[in-house]
Amino acid sequence: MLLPKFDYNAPATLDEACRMMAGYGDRAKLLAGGTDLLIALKKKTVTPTQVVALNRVDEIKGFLSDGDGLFIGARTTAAEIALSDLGPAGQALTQAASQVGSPLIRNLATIGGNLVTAMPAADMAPPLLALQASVVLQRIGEQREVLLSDFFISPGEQVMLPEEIMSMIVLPRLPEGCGGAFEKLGVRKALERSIVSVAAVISLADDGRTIQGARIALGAVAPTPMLAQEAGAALCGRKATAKNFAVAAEIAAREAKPRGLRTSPVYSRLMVEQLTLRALTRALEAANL
Amino acid sequence: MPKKKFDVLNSRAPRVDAAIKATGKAQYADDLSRTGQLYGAILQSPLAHARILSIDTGKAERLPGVKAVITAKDVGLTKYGVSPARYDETLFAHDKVRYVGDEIAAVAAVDPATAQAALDLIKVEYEELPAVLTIDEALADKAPQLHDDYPGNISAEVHQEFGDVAAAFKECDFIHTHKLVNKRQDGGFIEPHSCVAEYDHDGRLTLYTSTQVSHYVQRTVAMVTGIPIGRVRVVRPCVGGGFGPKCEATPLELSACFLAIKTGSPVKITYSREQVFLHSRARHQFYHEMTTGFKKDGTIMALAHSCRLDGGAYSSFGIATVYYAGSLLGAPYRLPNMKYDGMRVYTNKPACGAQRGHGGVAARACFEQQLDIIAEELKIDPIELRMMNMMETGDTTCNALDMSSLGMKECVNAVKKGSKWQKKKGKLPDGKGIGMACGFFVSGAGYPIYRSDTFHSTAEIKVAEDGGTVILRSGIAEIGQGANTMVAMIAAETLGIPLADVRVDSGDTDYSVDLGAYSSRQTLMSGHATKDAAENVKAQILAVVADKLKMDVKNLDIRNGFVKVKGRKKLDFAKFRDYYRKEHRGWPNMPDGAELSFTEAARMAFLKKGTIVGTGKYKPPILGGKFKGAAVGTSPAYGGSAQVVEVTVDRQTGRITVDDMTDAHDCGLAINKTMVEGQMQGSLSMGLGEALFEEVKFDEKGHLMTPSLGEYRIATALDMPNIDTLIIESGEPNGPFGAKEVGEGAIMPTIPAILNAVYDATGVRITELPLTPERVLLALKEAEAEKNA
Amino acid sequence: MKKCHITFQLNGRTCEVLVDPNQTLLSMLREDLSLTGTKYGCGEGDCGACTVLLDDEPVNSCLILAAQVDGHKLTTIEGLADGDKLHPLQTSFIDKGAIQCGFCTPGMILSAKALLDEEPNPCELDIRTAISGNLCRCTGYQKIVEAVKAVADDCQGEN
Repeated sequence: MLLPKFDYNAPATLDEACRMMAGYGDRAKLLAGGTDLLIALKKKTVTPTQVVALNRVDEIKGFLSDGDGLFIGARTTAAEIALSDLGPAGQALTQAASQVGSPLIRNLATIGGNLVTAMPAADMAPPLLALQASVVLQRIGEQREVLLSDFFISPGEQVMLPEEIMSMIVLPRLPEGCGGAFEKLGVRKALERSIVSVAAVISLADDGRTIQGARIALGAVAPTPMLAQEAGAALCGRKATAKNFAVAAEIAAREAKPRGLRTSPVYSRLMVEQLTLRALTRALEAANL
Repeated sequence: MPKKKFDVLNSRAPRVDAAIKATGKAQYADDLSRTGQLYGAILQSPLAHARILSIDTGKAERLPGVKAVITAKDVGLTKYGVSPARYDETLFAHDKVRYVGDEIAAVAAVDPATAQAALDLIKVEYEELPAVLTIDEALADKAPQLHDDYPGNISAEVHQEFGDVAAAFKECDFIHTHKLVNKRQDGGFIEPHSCVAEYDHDGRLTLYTSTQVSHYVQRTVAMVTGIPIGRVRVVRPCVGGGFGPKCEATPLELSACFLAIKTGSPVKITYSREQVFLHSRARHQFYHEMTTGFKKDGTIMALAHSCRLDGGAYSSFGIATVYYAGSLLGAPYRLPNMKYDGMRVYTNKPACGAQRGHGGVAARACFEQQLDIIAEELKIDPIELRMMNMMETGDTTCNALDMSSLGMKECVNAVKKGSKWQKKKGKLPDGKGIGMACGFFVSGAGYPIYRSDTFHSTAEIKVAEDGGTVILRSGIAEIGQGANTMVAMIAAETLGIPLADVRVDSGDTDYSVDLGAYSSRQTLMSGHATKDAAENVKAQILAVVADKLKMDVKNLDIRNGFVKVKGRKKLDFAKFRDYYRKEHRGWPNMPDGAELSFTEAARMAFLKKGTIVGTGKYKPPILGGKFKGAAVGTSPAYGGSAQVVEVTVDRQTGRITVDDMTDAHDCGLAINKTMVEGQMQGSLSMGLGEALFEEVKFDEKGHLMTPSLGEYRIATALDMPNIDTLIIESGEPNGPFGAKEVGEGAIMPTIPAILNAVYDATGVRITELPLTPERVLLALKEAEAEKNA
Repeated sequence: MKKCHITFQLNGRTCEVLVDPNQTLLSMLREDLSLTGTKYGCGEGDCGACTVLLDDEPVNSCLILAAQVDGHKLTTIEGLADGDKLHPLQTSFIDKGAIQCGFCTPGMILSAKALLDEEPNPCELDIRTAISGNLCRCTGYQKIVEAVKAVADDCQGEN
């Protein structure tokens, strides 16, 4: 399990990091938490000549909120997110973060890394999709904001240019009466990659029963983490009842595009349905608290 | 058996190696470094089955930093393996490779990176051959053949019948057939195999290696390298778990030895985690089919059992495995008629071998599940059915296994009570279930792996000249189970001295012959040899004391570190004490009590006889039947266990949670209660893993799909419930102080108890392991569909 | 490859090392500093045998480059005892029979230490969660959990 040969760079600022990445282009790999990159290096699936470590770049770590929403630095770890209070809707994200790998992994793995590696089963992607997150991508003198729903392309592939660095994740401010939840099914209770994961975020009208908006996102059942848009849409304007949740769950199961790699498509769809139902039920509870 | 009072045994003494392990000071093989050490690496086949057309090592040899490259040309084609009857491996493949991972060459270089780089420079030309990856493919007409010497891809076949099964079936009221298939497992020990080999100018080879069997490794290394056995020394440092797959000489060890010989420098090689999986030698995949006949009163009459084992490319322990898969069903229930047809088949995958509960685990899972089916058919409580048929001390099985002690009924009663079975069985809500099962295992194989009258264990105890410390030297394998502590406690108890005064040096073939840590043999066998050596030392010392102080030796004993006298006569040692004090002027801790200390007595003996050394030995008496294969399953004693497991089945996802486990184990006598519980708890977690998670998978080209501990899932702390561990002590007449096994028997009931609990929770029988959420849910759906149809 | 000169706090002392950029923290500890109490079990973060405390948080040292610890604080199993005086967790692991083969023990103790430093009175689920990245194949975890709980209870008793 030896690593390929590369040079190590440890820029102190985002600006410096951007300059390095501009210079190195696709010869370089960014190192954040390292929980995915080190394994890829050991397996020689990536062989950069330069590694640009972000662990000194503290400006892209931590939380900041203003009237528009919440900004999470891309280097914020899963452990830090799991311990944070992100409100009743943000629970979808904190719950997902608390189920990443193991405590040891959570102390290293970053939210940015979880998205950049673009794995179908990435734990934090479904809640971020459900929370309408976008990501800020930085290069020298330029930054762009991309909706997370437009970010993923295929397993391991997303829209970032080689010289770009993800600096933060933006969660738009949600109205009052929102609630979120995350459901993960694995074989073991820790150190587990999702068989299926589902995040749901719903917003209730003032009556506390009518659903104004619902977003349901699925993990590990398509080439990329995905929004089950029809399932969410089916709940808009409806009452938050078990019956309506069941209808939405069924639609979500149809929307899933399981590839049958780890479990059969039949089982994956059944689990999407079941986990969607559970996530919606718990999201409702969170919204009503 | 009346309870004897012990001074050291039957306690909760901390392990003798606990402190070095808690502080990180314990040295495992990969922690060792020798001056001038080189690093080895092994080239392994990327193809499951291929002819080797050519091997070109030229470029690798020319790479700066490479000190040696070896192939079959250099090391020869000496065949080896586990059982001399099936030596079917050579260190390196020369004509063809038989699985993805088969070893082709090895290199030694100045650092690991150079060694790896050298492997990439070795050019091997292959002609790919069609591979057989399943039993059916291997047994098909005109199937590609793995070994010329073993036609039909059959590695071993067993046909046994005890009693008359066909006749017995005619007397039965019911006959039921049941099948079960498990999956290939991995040992899952946390320490990958590692070793360092050294070869000195006098032609002596020393191998430090992570092994369970220094003795067998020594023999194999001597045979394959051609070095006289007296010049081969195998030393086992701390071992990070074994569970079976470290029970034989490995290509890692043999490569390191040859590289050390060729370079004259120490060579270290450590397997990567992936290589651990490729080396395998762990639990086979078993396909069991059992037909059991019984009377309507619940009496079990006969079992017709067939089993096929997917063995992988070489035999390893497989000959024993295929026998154990049949013979271990002979007990603990009275089973007068038993027929067994077993077959182990070669496939183009890594070789399977021995793993905790060798050969018997899947068979036990199938049979105990069937007992529950029968109990339900007869409307008898599953515990009652088992108790009705349970053997007792003194019974002999139809395949000639002697139950010299058997606390099975006590085990069953203990778990019944401990789990509150009667309050729960049949009374839990849907989705919650309770299940039970029993198990049974040998306390050491009755015969060594090679045909021999050798002692199975010898031990040497030396008393330090000042008498303050007793040094126990033994070849036993401390692999985490607590063997060092076990022998230390037996030595201390026997000598009558505090445990702290015994130091154990073990695992070195220079010290003694011990067959190693397998078949749960060490407590009984190495324990006996230790006791024998300690008795010898004690007799020597007391003889001198008696002579010097003019006493009858029969009236002398040593306990708690002091010489005790029976009867009225007092020990007059004032003169000797005076002498001793003068001899040790200025020393702290001078003896001054009213009794003669062991230290003084030992000093007295040294002054008379020189260094006091006592040796001990053990081999089992002639055991078992005379039929072919009778050696596998015979043991001087048998341990037994019963378990009750409670589960929750999530009917919507199929996910199973094990909520509670109650386990009772008859270990004869608990030498160390904490360690016995540790074996029970560890066994159950391995059983739980095998039942719920564990499966080694291959793709259609024979590539390993689960090469990591992320893909191959062993239980985490969150998956394990707490276990109520109940120790039963039946007192084994053939065991030292009444002790027998606990290391492997405890795993036997776990899988069937879980299977039976899942049935209790859902009404659905699942006959394929592991019980992944998907497998369980689809079984539940299927059952539902059948019900509705 | 340009070597990296790094300075960090190791078990309470300042440590300066020249490391290869492609060297893991685990490799530096074991090979350059001979601190072999930190173990290689899998190299992929799946087993926790290589656990160390980085700025007091338990992490897999096989997934960190040595160069990354420049300027940070590191604790390994060798840094836990205070001279001859073992850390209470070490004593408890010894007394409760929480150690068998011992290969997971250093990582297990460090994960438990991080938990107790953060939460002196953890419930059983807290303990099991805290060690859920540290695999043990020998013990079934029960005696490990008991050992950690015993230290927590002792601390409570003292307060």
